[in-house]
Amino acid sequence: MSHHDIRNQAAARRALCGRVRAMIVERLDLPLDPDWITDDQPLFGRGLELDSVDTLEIMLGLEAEFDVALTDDDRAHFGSVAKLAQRIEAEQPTALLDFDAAEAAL
Amino acid sequence: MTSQTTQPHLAPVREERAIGDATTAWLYSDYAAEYQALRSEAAIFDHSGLGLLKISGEALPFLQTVLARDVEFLTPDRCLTSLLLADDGAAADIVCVYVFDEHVLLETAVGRGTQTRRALEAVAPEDVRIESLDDQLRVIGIEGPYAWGPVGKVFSTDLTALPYETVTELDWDGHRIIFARSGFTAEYGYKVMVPHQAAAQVWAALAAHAAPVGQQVLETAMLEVRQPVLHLESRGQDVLEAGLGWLVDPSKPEFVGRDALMQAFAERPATSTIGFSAAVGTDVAAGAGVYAGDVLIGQVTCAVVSPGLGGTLGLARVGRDFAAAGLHLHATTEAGPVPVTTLSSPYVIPSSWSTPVL
Repeated sequence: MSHHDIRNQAAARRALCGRVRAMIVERLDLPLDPDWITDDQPLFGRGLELDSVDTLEIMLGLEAEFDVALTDDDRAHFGSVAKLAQRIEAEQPTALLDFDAAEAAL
Repeated sequence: MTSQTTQPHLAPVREERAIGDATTAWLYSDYAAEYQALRSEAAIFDHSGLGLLKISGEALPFLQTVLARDVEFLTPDRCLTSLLLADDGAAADIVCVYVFDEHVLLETAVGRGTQTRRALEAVAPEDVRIESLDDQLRVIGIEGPYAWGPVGKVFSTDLTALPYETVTELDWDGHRIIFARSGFTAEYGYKVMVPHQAAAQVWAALAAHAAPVGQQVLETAMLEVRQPVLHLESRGQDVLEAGLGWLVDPSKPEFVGRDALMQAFAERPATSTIGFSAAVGTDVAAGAGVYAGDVLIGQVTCAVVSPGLGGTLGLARVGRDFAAAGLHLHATTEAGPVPVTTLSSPYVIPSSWSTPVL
């Protein structure tokens, strides 16, 4: 794959992660700039310190925003924003196409 | 550098390694066997390389002005992990804070006890006293999907299901020990802080039910779940590039290094850290170039053998445009370029996530 293609692939994935972060911040009413959350930080425990109630909100957000249904048995997918994004990509590949390349470059 | 501790190891070690001011038990027996014990059973760690600082007087108000996370309302039954920054925004330490009635206990990252004590003493007001407890208390960790087993057998089954970051004290065979539900590897984790004179006895009791595991496997396991290994990952004013921002509360109005860190955030760091995997046996090392196509995009920060991944696990600092999972890149080695694939965290799913406490 060429450098250009890899860059575009990365941009699409970063944009999807950005949408997931924005959804989490909005759904959980967190006093945070979404860009402060890193895509690989733990969401539970020592990371964002989310709890089981937060999990439910995120599940509702995933369904509303991305049409992806997760259960709380899918704990591995809640490991990080990047893990959630990978699950979204697996179920809704077109989610990667829905991004603004200019915004992703920020 | 003055050695923080000259205490003997709690069990014979195969290899020891100096990290900062500490001499750690790097490996006790066999790397693969120790890893297996941690990820599949129960492991015990000699955490004597962590610094322990007792802060008395107006301790909590002082730490509230210094640490990057909010500790003002931390209660004696809870502990909390926070970054400690330098004035220029560099990551100075990752500390765990324990509150007691008359003092606060600060647990530093491995090998950072001396430098953190000096850094705090340099800014502490007159009504705050800071002393090292390294010659009084010893920290022993118990982690693994079945770590609750040794905890229940040696201490009490009441402790096995304590909520995360809960702290309590108990009497054990005439010794007062501090017990915390806290760890490093995302497996079930517990720490006990025991008086020195009881450490060998506690270790022996736990070792009847769990395997001694060294610092080498601990650091691998921490990398696997993206828990920061500060001495490997941070190279100065790069909190955001290293992905450590989650140990900071950006809404907190005052802490050491805040202005520099917020300035860095506003300017948007040019690089980010991403995890990657490579095939078993590939000799990817820190400093190796990372390429997207034929263009250099970054450098490897560190790389370890991860039995959980079945190959090499590494972290790379790359241009932020390339900080995404699922990319097929390559890294330079002495044998030539090797393919690497970027990953999403956690890179290894802890067994504890699917193992109930019984």
